[in-house]
Amino acid sequence: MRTDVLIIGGGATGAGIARDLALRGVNCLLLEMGDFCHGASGGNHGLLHSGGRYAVKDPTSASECALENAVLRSIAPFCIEDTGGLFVSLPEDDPSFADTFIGSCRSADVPLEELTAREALRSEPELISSVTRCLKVDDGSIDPFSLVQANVDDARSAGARVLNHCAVTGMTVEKGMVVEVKVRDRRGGVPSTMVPDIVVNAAGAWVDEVAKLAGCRVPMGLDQGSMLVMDGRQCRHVVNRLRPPSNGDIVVPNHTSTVLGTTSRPAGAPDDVAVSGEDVDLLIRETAAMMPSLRARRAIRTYGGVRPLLSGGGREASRSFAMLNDERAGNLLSVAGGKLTTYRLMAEKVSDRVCGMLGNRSECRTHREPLGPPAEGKGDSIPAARLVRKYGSLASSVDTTDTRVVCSCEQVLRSEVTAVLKAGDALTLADVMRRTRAGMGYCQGFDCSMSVLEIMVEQNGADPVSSLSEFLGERERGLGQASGDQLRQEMLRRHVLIGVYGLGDRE
Amino acid sequence: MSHALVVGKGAAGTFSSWLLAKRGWEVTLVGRGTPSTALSTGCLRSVPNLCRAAISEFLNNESMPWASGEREGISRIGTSYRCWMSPAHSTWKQGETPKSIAVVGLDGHPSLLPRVASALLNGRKIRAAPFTLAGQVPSEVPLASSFRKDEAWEDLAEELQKMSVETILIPSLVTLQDYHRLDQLEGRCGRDVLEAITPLGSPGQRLADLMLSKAGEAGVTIWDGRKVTALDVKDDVVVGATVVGGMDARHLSVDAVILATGGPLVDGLVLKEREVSDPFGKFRVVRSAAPLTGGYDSLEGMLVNTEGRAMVNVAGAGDCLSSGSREYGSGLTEALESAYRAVRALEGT
Amino acid sequence: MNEGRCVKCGSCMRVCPVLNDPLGERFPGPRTTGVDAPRFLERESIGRNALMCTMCHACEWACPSGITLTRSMLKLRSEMIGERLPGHRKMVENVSSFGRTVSTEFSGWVENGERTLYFPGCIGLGRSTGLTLSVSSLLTSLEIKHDISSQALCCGSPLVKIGALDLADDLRRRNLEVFSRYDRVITSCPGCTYQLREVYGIEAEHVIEVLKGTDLGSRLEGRWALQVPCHLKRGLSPWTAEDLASILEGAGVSVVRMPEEDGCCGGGGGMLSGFPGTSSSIARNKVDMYRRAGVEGVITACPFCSLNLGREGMKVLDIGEVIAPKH
Repeated sequence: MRTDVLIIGGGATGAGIARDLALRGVNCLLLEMGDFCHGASGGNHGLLHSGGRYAVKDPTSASECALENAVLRSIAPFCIEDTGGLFVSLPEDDPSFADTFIGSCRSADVPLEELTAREALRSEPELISSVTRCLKVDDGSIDPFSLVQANVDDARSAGARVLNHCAVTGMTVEKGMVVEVKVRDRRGGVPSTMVPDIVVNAAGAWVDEVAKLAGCRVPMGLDQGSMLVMDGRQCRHVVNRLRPPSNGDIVVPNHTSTVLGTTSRPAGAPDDVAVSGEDVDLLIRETAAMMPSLRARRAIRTYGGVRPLLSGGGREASRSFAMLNDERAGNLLSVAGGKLTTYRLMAEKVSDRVCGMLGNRSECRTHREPLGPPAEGKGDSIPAARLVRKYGSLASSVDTTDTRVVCSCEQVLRSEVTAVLKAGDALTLADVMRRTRAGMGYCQGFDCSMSVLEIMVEQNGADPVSSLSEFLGERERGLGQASGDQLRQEMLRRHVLIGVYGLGDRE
Repeated sequence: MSHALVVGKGAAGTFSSWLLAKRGWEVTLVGRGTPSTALSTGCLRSVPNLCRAAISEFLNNESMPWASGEREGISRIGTSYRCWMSPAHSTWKQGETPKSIAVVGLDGHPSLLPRVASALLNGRKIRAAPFTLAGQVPSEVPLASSFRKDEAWEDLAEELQKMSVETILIPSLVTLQDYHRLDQLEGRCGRDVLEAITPLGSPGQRLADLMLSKAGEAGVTIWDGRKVTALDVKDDVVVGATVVGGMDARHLSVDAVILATGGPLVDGLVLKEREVSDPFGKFRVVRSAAPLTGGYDSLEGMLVNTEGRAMVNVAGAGDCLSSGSREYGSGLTEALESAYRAVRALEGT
Repeated sequence: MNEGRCVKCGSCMRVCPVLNDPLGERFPGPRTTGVDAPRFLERESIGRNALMCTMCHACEWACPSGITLTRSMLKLRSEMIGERLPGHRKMVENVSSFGRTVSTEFSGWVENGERTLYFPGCIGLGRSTGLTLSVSSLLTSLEIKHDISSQALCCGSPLVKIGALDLADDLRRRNLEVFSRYDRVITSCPGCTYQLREVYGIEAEHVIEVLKGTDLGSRLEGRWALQVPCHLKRGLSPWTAEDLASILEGAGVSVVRMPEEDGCCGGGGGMLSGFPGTSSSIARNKVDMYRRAGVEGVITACPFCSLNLGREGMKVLDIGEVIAPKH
């Protein structure tokens, strides 16, 4: 199959590029080996950065964040919660840092406002009463799955072809150009060889793995970060620690939970996402210093992500990105680095470069064209009020006359599951979960996964055994550190899955 | 008459209180909240030889006949479930697997998943096909409530008669009192009717209700919805207990105590992070084991105080006891066996 | 609030009298309204069906994790915005204009400055005045001199149930002034008793607590079952069920006990006025059960239970109407 541009990687970067190019009339095909957001886009903090966090050390990043923050709020309001953000300092923090921070934000055009300690406590009651200084910024929380799917859907409406569950397995290079790309599709039906003019390697942490297929190398400094998900919205704003960026600095309320993050350690491989017990202890300790009540809350699961940083990474690495092109494969453009908040800008720059290579003079429109409507937040039921938040423009494809709920923790309608299955991208239980949020709540699919599976068997003829074991394996990853009430939930899950149904290993 | 306090109204608590009452004790059974027994499948994986006869007598009742031996049933998702003792309609004799099964569920109701179950059954070479009954019942609604009236059963019988299979697998939807309806259904539709093995549903609740009523019939005073908040201990003897319910509290003098309070799932043991501990703060807990196997330490059936001495008149039974051999799925059997042992320990036999 | 303890065992859903009633299907259920919904920014959109709860506390009793479901559901009710149900609107209008949820039919006020106040509650002063008169004469015959004050208004409990917290608070302040003139407050409605104890912080006594231990007789014949009020057994004290039975048995009444005697009558939580169809359906189920048991009638200790079960054709008597001191 021929295509002008083959994009490898269905995270925010790849999806953003596909959308941008498609809107410029470029014929493109995007392939993602797993489900969209397989990599860092599915393992980040869900934070729409104001830029404040980078203002002092990386003002360029900070300015970019501030600008893109506003752009995303205008093109994709549906997937953003306008929580606002607070940077708070405690008695043990260096008192002068706040002024440095303010100065840097001003220079980087990151909007901010200082609040008195009393105002801070009134607007965020869970803050520790010893808060010394507080700065308000435009942080928000964002749903990356919803955002990326909207990019994919928009790219498709503009003519792009996008396929998930399609892995690139090899490339043939002749005379310094990639001439053929071999593909393995989990669903069948797609030819196993692509012939592209240009290959954009937006595989995130797998960029080097993909580049190797063409005989090129991209030296990565992969870095893992851990997150801890707490049940319920434990604060109103994104809450940050006002000190030089460190571990456990940020608390993000999103949907029905609160995500504590993050950490940093070198990652041995693109899928080295493992979260350690020490990470969990650190995250609780550091975030509870800002909001003590977090200690008493229920931790639902952990997850990790690998940051696709270029070599020489770690916490000090620049969050900006780089485009790399090697003469060994002149039509292979590798993209590394970046962050979720500035994905669109990254995609714009890559698309500019690609269009230059193609001789296409169209202008970028992604900052102007809406990705979806604003979220309404009200409806005649909780599920109805949340449809736009999760599905953007496709919310209208959900039949709300059937009021039956399949996932109670996340208030997901059965008809959401059927709509998602009908749209075609969801192959596995986990795919359905990412889109509907069924299984993301405090019971972690204990109540609903079987019922969702039943719908999948009914509608798609899915094979229950493999679907279920894949899903259970994936959930298991995040539940290994379970303690307290989540451990009680896990015990009940095991009583049922192992003790009654005979699935999985006995302890 | 000696007064025994039994704490916990699940299998371990009801069985031990029934045994004690039969042996002439005055028994007060205090419990709150749904016990793990009510969340179970209502079937016994195995029956310990030690108290086989006692268990049979305990579970014998007029409403629901039991089947014993090597039995097999089908779970609500279609997996195989083997056990030694079950309600008559939940299992068949192992080896006499049904030749063809219609898996009948209500549209969208989680009580039985016809398509998943049929796929899993067919995968195990048991011919099965899914059928969905008309009518949408919200998944939050307990199915038993839609089947209280005769009409619902008549409609069901009519639907089932249309199926040309030998055996029909239906969701669990009868209470203890209504169990006879399954026989009636079989008679009406001329097929074997099998009730899906279901955790967190009517079978477990049925069993818990049965056990509680047997204890009541034996003369046990049942204090439901109440919680023992403190035990008065003098040396190695418990002499009294404080019982709280609603806005009220009472004090009891006791001669013996059996703690059958359950595991961390039902707050019988306190779970802090990953370690269990004693809510009364009086007895030693084996902590090194995982939450499933951790629990009260015991010396010949009697609980051990925090200084390591065996209590004179306090025994433990069920999930609150530590047990290296406890597995997911074997809780009921262990609960009954340990309850029997606890009573013997209290009586010094 | 401890909803974070939920492990999805479903016990609360299985015991809910509304979910177990064919007309109660639309109720999201105790777990959805008490545990799940509060976690959403969009929780106000849950809709009026979230009010289909009788506040019977059966869910709390069943919860192995000890979650205070009722409190959580009440909090959600207070956060709900939008138009009230017609029946609830009427209730609010009544309280705003004359201080009671229903029109006052009672006229036998006693304002003698006694040390004890008998507080019959809105239903006792409205639709069930016979009950009030019986209890009053019973108290008199036990030599408990008491006032029945026209200035004592609605206890506020129904207003709390429908989320009208400010109005309830206003009533509380006005009532506390009246109560301050008395040493002892006696009630015949468990809902009032619970409200006075829990929210007002007054040691109000329910008639059953007053009657316990007194020497009583009854002229009642035949076999009678019990309707054990929710707010008595699962609100004030589980021991009140045994107390009710033993008071009656001690007075010579032939009492038939049954496991479902403490099941909800369907009348509480604003259901009576908000969802009358479902409320009477629940009552009807209970009455069918009593009929199957072949009893003469039912004895209760709550005006809501009397009212709701009585409407379905069952003979229902309040304890005050059934006993008297032995002469």
